[in-house]
Amino acid sequence: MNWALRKAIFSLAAWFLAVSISILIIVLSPGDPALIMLTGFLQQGIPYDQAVRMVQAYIGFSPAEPWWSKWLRYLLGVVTGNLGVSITYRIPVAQLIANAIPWSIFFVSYSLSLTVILGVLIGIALAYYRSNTIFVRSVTTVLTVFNSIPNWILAAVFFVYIGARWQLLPYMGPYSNDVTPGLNLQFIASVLYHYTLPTMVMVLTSIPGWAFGISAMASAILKEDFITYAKARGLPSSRILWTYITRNSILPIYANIAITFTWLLVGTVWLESQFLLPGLGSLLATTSGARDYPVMIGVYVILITAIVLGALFTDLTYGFIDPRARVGET
Amino acid sequence: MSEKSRNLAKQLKLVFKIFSRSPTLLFSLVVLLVYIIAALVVVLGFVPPLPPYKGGWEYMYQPPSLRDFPWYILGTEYTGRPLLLTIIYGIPKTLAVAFLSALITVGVGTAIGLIAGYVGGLVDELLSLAINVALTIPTYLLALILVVILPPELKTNVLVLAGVLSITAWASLARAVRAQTIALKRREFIDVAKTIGYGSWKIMFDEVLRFMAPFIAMNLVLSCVGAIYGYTGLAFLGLMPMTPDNWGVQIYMAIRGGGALYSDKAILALWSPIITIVLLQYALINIAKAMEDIFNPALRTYLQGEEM
Amino acid sequence: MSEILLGVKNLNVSYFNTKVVSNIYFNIFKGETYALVGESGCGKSTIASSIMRTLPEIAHIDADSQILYYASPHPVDLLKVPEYEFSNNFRWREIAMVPQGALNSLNPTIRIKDHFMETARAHNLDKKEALEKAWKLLEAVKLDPHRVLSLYPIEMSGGMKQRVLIALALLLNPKLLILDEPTTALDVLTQREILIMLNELKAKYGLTYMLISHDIALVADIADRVAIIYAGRIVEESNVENIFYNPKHPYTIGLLKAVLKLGEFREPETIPGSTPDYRKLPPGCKFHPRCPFAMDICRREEPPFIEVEKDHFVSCWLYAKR
Ligand SMILES: Nc1ncnc2c1ncn2[C@@H]1O[C@H](COP(=O)(O)OP(=O)(O)OP(=O)(O)O)[C@@H](O)[C@H]1O
Ligand code: SF4
Ligand SMILES: [Mg+2]
Repeated sequence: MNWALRKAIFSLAAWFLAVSISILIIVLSPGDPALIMLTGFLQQGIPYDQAVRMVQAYIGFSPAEPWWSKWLRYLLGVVTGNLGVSITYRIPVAQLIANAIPWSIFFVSYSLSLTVILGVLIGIALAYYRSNTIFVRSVTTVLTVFNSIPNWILAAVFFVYIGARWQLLPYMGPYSNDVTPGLNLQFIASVLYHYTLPTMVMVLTSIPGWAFGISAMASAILKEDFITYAKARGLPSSRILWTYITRNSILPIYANIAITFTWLLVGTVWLESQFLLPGLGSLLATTSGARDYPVMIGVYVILITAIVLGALFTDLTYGFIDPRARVGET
Repeated sequence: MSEKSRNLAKQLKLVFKIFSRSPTLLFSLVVLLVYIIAALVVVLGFVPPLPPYKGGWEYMYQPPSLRDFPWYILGTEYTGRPLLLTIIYGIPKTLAVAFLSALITVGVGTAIGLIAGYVGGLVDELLSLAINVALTIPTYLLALILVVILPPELKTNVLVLAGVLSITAWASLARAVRAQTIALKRREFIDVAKTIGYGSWKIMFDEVLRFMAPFIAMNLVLSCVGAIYGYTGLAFLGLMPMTPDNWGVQIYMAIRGGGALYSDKAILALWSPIITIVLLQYALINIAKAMEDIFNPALRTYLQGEEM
Repeated sequence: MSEILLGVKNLNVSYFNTKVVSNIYFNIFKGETYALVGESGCGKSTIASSIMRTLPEIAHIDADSQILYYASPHPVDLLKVPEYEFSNNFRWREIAMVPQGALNSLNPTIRIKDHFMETARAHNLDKKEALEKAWKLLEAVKLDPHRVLSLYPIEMSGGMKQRVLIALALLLNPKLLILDEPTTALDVLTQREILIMLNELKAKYGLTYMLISHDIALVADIADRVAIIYAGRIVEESNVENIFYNPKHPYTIGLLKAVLKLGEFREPETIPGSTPDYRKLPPGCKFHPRCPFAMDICRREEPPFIEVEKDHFVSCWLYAKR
């Protein structure tokens, strides 16, 4: 448990540094958002003093301050949960984010579990049926092609064809208009149905990494002594496949779950905006277009937080799953 | 010296063997070569200049024609210019951004990893902290914010774009190089080199870098893939300057402005840039895989063993 | 003479097209310890895997090879019985093994208890019964069952793993136990303990051992009969006294000289030359490039298997009456 606490403290430090360095880069860059906002207000004919006060109210620091005090003030805001006010929506950023979070959590965790499950299955199949060259070649080729298609391109193509042109699957919005949001079956079914296309894009573009990684691990595992010995004892091949090959192949790359999580989270910026879904990604994409800096930076900070939490979560669960990690730690 | 050149010859032979083994890889190399030649042709001024912007519906997304052969065979795009020509004009800039960004990523990553691993002590602690922090910040996320707040004149600067697209991308390479350096440091040949009287920095760059060359080369190629993803992807979000030579902008316009949603009018303007991007990424990923194979010790010994 | 338990007849095994085990004949009698001795790579484990039917797919056993198991009144050819029958009736029930590479033979991600239970389940052994049996066996191999059952392999030393593997091998009361290098990779003290324990277990459970080793001292200690293997062929076979005090084959003599001081004190010698490459084995006697007594005929023809004295067989032209 001591070990878990140490990991948590380390994550907190990494989070703090990541956020503060990012904010530092942002306030130091030639396009200081406070200044840009100020210029915008001045152009609208707002008197200087009032414009400065407005900037301060929205983003939390004033354009006239030195960089370090902007930095400190924003950080303080982050730590106290005050992320400023949205320029476009005129409501607190924290509230906008709170509304968006559940949708992104659902989308990302849904895609992540499908990616990992399917990626592992395909990877194991690649290693297990390695003598079938035709199977291995064709699967590898398909995977490499999907590996080369940027997720936003696949999203655009699916959106245009499977969605708009052929009308095969819903392609706009998180659920249909005739259901009432809440914990009822119609709503949940409608949400799952509407997320089919976006999830397909997420999963198809992130499976190759998992499949290739697992297949490389499993090929190595297949040569291990404990596989031969398991066969000698007469264990059924299903047991060997799951408890011996799969289990031992997943554990070494278990940490990749955090990497895929991050990757999917960043992917929501393109996918949620493409398919008009609510969530952190579309919030960031739309507010970026409108230069709503308080929201942009707020979402950015929240995404970094989620990434750190994701990494911490995989680290902690890994310790419980793999006996080797715990032995190594003590 | 002869030892060195023999080693190099061996390495080249191995590379050749891996390349000649796979038709996909050969195809990928040809594709990359075509892109590079196209970029050179543009840079050296062998293609006509882009005609001026022509607003108005009648000029947008015209069907293919044989006018000014071959430039109009894909028709026109949203600015009324020939699509083929604008796509070709995109090659040098995209490749420049990708390659510069990859150079920065790999240069910074290798340098930080080497220094952290080789010097050790407090320097290592600090650099490791930097690596860990950078690892938690996804490049495209920070790049997105920076692209939005940067003033327009900086956004069109290739060097600035390359820097933005590699802002934290160096971290994973730095971590790998650091680990490898530490492992290599324990090996005796470094000690041997030391006793023979090489300077320590010379050893660091000579031995360690030479050993890791295929790995670093692979990362160079993969960083290109990443930079192209970011460069076109951020344009697709409408956050980059709306210049027609960015393929992401072309796709964006084909969907938002060209009615690709409802008709086949902009079908070429949609698919041409998509195929241009995917083909390039496919070629680069295959080349990176081949480099991974060179790095993979098992395959390496297997292939070298065949020679005997 | 006592009863035969296992008879190997004309065993020929190849990997791809390279033959690594040639024309092997031997019998193992009930209750004895039969040892296969030879340099690394001479094909010992391949013989064991042929008996256990765990050869990799690329391996091929010639059709006229036989491995006869004398369980019931009629001997059964283990190479011919269908896989399910072998699994149900012979694997681990009649013949079990302690694999080479003890350090890496257990699944690192499951507990020792799971290893026992999965083996039991694979052979339809009742859960409770299996656990009781595992408990008893772990005690028999001098481990603390309470502690060991809940450990993961990484939490155990090499000696402990070896004991666990021995206990696991005895879970279904096999008659024949194949021990593939049971003491290599262990320190000398642990080697002694394992050896003593193996002797105890043999008496307690009425076992027959097939011991594979290149540890001459171990073989001298516990084997009854010994087969010396060179390049996949048995070159000499006899009881342990003959092999150690009256070796006939030049390879056996060299092997013993390499490890034993043979009465007087001198530096251990090694056999000159290197282990053979299976892809280009020499014609005639496979040992002739390294043999100090090699004659013309040795380079041309393979030597016959000759009984030089009662129950002492040698494959060498030196003893052939031509
Ligand atoms: N899976 C395999 N594929 C190809 N060749 C193999 C394979 N397994 C073993 N061999 C070859 O067969 C020969 C005999 O191997 P085997 O493992 O039976 O030797 P061994 O006597 O048990 O050696 P050791 O004492 O090292 O365990 C060796 O030359 C080895 O290279
Ligand atoms: S047959 Fe000839 S070469 Fe072979 S061991 Fe006997 S004497 Fe030596
Ligand atoms: Mg062996």
